[in-house]
Amino acid sequence: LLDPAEPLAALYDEHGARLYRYAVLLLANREAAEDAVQEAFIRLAAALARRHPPEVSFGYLAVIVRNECYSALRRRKRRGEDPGPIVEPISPQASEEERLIVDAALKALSTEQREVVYLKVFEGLTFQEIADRCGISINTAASRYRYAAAALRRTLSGSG
Amino acid sequence: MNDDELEVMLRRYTGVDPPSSLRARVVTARGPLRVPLTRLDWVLVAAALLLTAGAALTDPDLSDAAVNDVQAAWEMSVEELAATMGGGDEARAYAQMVVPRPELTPQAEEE
Repeated sequence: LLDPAEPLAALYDEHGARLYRYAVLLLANREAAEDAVQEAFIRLAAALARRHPPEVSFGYLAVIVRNECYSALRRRKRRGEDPGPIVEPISPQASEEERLIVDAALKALSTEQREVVYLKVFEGLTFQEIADRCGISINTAASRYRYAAAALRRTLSGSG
Repeated sequence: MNDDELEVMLRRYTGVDPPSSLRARVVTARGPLRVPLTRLDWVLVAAALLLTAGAALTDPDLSDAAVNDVQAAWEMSVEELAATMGGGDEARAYAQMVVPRPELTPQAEEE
């Protein structure tokens, strides 16, 4: 019998932090992101326990996490949860004041816009890769980013 | 602020890191794992249930109490099978179709 714990641990060590950051940016809520990642790994454990486990890549896991996040978002609409901070500084040029502004600006975006910004800026994906990940056309991915960037510029310029 | 300046500003940040406790949650939590049964599994389950119900039906010493027991056993088999399939009304309805229903009352009256 396949013990799911071992491959789960290895996969979490390899991809867990990246998946969590993706979930946090999608959900704009750290606690909900933890739940989403855990649920994704529970689904993965079930898949590994089947007779023909799938090839597990980051892309495969990201799709599961994404599905969990959008399910959580649908549930959250009924509960009205309060989101916590979703970004942290990685540059010495960042300041706490700026972090708060960036954090708020990202949260003000729609989930779809925030996802595209995250995938392009933080993950470094191309619009084609974003389109593949999100199941949308490349034009939709590009236009979502354009609208998101415009909204961020407005917010961040107004705060500066 | 143009697009380049915006990206420069955003790249000073990243998504927050997971808490260390998440690894333990992920690795240890199995959740309600249900490995799907194959067609052969279902055939074996149905055969076992048929044998159980058949043995109960052909018992010559079947009393009213035993009839109730068989009925209760049938209901329990239905519930167990429904739970195996994940529970719920749909699973229960399917289990009621799969598990042979004992027709005990007429047989008991004939005796």
